[in-house]
Amino acid sequence: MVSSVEVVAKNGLRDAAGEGARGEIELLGEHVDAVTRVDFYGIDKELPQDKLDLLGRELFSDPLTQDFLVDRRTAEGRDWDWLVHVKKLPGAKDGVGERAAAAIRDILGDGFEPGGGVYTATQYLIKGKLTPEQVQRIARDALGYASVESWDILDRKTFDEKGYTPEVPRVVIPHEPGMKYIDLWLDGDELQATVRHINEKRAKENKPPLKIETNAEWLDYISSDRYLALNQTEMQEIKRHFSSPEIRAKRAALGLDEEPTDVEMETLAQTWSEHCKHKIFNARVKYKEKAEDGTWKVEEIDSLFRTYIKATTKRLQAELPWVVSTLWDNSGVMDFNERYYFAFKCETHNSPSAKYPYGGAITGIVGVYRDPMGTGRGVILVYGTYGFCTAVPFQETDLEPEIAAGRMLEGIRKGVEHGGNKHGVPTPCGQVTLDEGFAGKPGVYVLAAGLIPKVVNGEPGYEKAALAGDLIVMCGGRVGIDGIHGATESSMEGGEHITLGHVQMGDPFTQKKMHDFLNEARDRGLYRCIQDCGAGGLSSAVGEMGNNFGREGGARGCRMYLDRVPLKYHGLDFWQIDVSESQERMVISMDPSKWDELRELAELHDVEITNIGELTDSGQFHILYGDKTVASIDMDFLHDGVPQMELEAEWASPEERGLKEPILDRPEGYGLLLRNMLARPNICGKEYLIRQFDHEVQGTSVIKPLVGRDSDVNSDGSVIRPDLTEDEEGKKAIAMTVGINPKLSQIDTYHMATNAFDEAVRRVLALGGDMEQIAMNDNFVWPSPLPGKDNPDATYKMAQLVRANRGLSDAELAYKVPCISGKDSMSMDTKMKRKDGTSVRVSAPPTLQMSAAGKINDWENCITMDAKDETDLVYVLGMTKDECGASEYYEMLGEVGRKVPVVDFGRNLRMYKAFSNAVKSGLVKSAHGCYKGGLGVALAQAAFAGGFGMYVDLGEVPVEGVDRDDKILFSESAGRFVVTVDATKVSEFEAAMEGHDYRAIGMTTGDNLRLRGLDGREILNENIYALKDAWRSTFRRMEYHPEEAAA
Amino acid sequence: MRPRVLTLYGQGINCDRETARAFGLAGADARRVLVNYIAHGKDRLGNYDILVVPGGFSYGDDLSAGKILALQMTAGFGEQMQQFIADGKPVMGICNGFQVLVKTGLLPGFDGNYRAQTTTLTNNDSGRFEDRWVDLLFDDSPCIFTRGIRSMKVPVRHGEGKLYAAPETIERLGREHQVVARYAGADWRPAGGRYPMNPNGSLDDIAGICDPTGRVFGWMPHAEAATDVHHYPTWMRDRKAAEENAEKARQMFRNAVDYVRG
Repeated sequence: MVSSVEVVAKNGLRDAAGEGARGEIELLGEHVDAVTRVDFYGIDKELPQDKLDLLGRELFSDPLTQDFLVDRRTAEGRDWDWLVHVKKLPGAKDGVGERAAAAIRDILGDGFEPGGGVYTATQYLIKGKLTPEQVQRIARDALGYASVESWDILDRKTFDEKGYTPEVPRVVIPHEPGMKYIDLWLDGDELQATVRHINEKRAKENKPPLKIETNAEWLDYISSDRYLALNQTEMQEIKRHFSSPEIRAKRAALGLDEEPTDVEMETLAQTWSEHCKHKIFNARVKYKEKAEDGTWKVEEIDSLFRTYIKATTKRLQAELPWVVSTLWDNSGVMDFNERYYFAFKCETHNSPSAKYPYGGAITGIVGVYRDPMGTGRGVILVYGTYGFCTAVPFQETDLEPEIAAGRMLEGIRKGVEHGGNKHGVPTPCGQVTLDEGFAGKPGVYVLAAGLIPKVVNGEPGYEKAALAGDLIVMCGGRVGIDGIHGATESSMEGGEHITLGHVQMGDPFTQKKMHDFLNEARDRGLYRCIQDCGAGGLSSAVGEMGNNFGREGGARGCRMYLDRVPLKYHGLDFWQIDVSESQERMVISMDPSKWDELRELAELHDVEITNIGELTDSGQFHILYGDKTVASIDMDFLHDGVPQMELEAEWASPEERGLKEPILDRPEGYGLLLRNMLARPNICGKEYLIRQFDHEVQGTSVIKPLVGRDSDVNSDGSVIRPDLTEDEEGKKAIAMTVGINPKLSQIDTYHMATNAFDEAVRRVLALGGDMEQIAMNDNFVWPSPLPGKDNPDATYKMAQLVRANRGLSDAELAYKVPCISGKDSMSMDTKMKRKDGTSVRVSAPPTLQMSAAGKINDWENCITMDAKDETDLVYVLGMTKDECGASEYYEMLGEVGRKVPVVDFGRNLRMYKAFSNAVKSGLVKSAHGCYKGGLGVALAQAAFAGGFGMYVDLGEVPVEGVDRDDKILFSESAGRFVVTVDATKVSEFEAAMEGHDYRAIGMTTGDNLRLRGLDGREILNENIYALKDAWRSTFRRMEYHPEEAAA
Repeated sequence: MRPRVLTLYGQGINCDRETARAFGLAGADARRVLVNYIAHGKDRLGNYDILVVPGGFSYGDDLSAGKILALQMTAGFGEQMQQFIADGKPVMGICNGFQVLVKTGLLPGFDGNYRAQTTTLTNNDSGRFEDRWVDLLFDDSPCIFTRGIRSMKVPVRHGEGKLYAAPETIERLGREHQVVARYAGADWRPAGGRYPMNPNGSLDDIAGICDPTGRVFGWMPHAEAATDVHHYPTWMRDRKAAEENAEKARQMFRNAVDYVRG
């Protein structure tokens, strides 16, 4: 019997949650008079009335602000027209319910039966004149998410006549768990008999019959039916492997049939997934490009990863002593100070976010934390960053997205907010990029950084080794059906394949406890090796550990017992336990003699740990359920058996694609033009978003994400001082920045990559960093370059990928800034509906986000972008060229152009070094890079952030081949800064910059930004606060304005 | 003598390290101690001189901020907390810790009753979590932590910081000088409820309160993240103000340590 407790704000008190829901409904364009929000708790346990009253009073409600009702409906006594009850789908993560159940156990001293628990739901009582269709839309597009929730809708009359008793989403799997063999050899009559049998079943489900005539088609069917995402070549390779007499003999000895088990097929599929093996980056590529004489130039590239990523990183690692560990562990490691190493890793979490933005993003950020946590001996987390790529919110297009851009952006923002804030990790830095290509699948970047002690248990903190004989211990949450097939499904196109299992819900509270537990266990030397349990679940985590991460001298095999794995509920098949991606889990390996001490520590931290097996040197990934073998795979085959893919790439130059420079009229009214530029979605202010991330927890903040006189203008990046010790080593700081510009991919992805790279570097310098020690993360988010009938320009997308890799590698080598971690997400395509009912394949622009971490030796050297004083000199550093191709300016005019910004690495590098020395000598009062929107936007931002106007002569700006005011203002040439310098330091500053591109262009004065054009006349005279208002206006509706909320 | 400070951690508490550091800078021997060490009887509050419940998201803020931790602490070592207060030892709750102190009833401690919940901290009027710096004005209260401090800039970082109670409770807090600090406008007068100076809609702009003795103190702001010059948002614009403000933040922790030293 399920009892319920409902909680609601007391009559007459502000119902902030209800108002929030009303706000979301209004964003949809629907009007309602009022929304009351009721929190519903379904308690699946036999309890007397007095106990339920006790729980309602002590646990579920606040005595001063809330009322509660036991087993009755709040709706009865309220004024409303529609009731919407939103509950979770069975199996969807319910963290609040878990916490409530644990608290009930503590309060009553009596827990739940297996399968029992607390089920949370939210009820909205809506007052307003709405049609049933409108309420449906509100439920679907504002209150609930169909991928993880379902809802009941009642009108007042139905409620009054029939009453309403909400049901709870109990998970019942009416199924005895087990294991099956999969016949890969099926052919001929036997195959036809099987297909007939399948088709009889399909007929009962009203599904069209399948035509499977050959063994090859049968293999494709197995792959797609089970969501294995293995292609024909890979399936054939698996078949070949299992046909070998040697393998068959080994299997027979373990009591296994010749056919692979479902546990084995699933383990292989996870380990061989695009997500885990990066098959596109490891493919053999034939790259074609037209030479100047029109003939084809063909080049064979044996793996982009080895050729451009690995070779570059390793070359720089050999040269740069501060690069400590790269390309084998969960994240790269660099030196930080005498006490710590620094590890960081950026990931994306796009496919799940497309279905459930909040859940996808929170799972992403909480999940990426586990990468540094699983690096070396494990970190203490010190910061995270975000990058959100969605379509432009609140803008009508001809597409009909499942989730509108405004809701998408707000959902992923909130996911990162909750994930970061509740984990106690500051989120001080990030970016938002808005482009229609992200209408189907958003790009959700999440980065995590941490410090590892230099020495752990007498050994280097960045090292770890998995040894035969060690126990394998799973730490953290229980296993359920959530998150099955994440690794394989994220390699598929969006639109139809994604199942419930894919959509997870990270739980920062559970993981924060595990983080604290693991830190203490590390410092006591209780474990030897640590590994994230993420994509692919135990099959990947234990598989990697059992292979000692591909390194010499450790374990070569393992024995894992699936029956020991704690489950959320009964009924999971063995393969599901093996590959489930239920979150908040890490796997450690340890000396068995330390088990008791570890278990005691885990109990104190309320962290569940389970001994699930041991590492061996058998060469086998051996999985058992009790004493029965359910999988035994050769380690070598599992990790190195995947066949190399072969891909074609064919580049078409901008000229061949018909791009050309537009012929523009001279603009009139520079004031309006600048205000329009400032208000553009990719330039405008988004303070509301930044403020909702806790960017100061841990007390390490040096430069915050919002700076200036009123602390409300975006900084070029953020700086933290993660080791707060009061000594010289404790002065060291990390500058974190992000660079990204997918718009440039319209012209050439080579330059898209180099500009993103230069942007991230330049942002570090603008904060007071230098070129001595900057490390990067490269994260590719790409439309699929795999050929297929839906993907006619696959070879061009592959060529774009090749060129981006070249740009990336060239930039790293030129600046001596290595990528120490990186990741790719290669299926940014979605089948979508247009408003007219037709369908269309929407692909994201090829995108590379560069995330930088620059070491600063003394936080006192940091500077910010805001002008600091009256009568300071304003300088421009770097050369402004005719490079408006794919700029914000051209986009505003409806143009793309062809002259893309070209990064001059050598010239920049020399200037950057001189500049950072000038900063260290205290000669620079503010520095701001010129990014999107160019010099015009940078000048305006520096002025209104500082609260000082500027008088600037555009004729003084160093230019090459530019003779127009608009291009000087809005060209997006790389390598430039706007800098202010105290009048007394001018000669020193100019001496420091001697030989580089720089020029004084004006000074700070008054409250207006005034620009003198090339013809000597004043072309712009705007109050800086009017410019600031324009810059803030775009997302004003997302800000909190109490006077409007009251009205 | 180095007073021993018990800084609770675990169960989603987040600000334990910087809070312990702030007490350490003030000359204390500050230890981070797991909630369950006390709850399971492996250590006792009586072994310490100052108790601090730091900020964070205990139990993920589920079922309202501080609620479950308050229940757990009361059930696990409620009598030790009562004894700690009876022994005249200082108790501090910061942000989530403040929420815990009002939900255990340790604050405001009217008439020596440290068990009944008479005030609460509820959702910000904005309905959202925000991280921003605010100006504080200090009332003339007996709070031992804030002696000698009249004003300060500090960060607030919360979604449930609106102090709410019945009108007579609010009136009594003011009358009996139990209001320690209020949110202020740029003119250094109480914010009068105006957002964002009053960031959460707190009644009477109240940011923090103490018990009648001044030894039990809870507030929403994070002075432990204001102890250093570089914490101050505009330190590179106004170095002197940044230094003075950091000194005030340090003073709060020093006050408590000095109080114990006697």
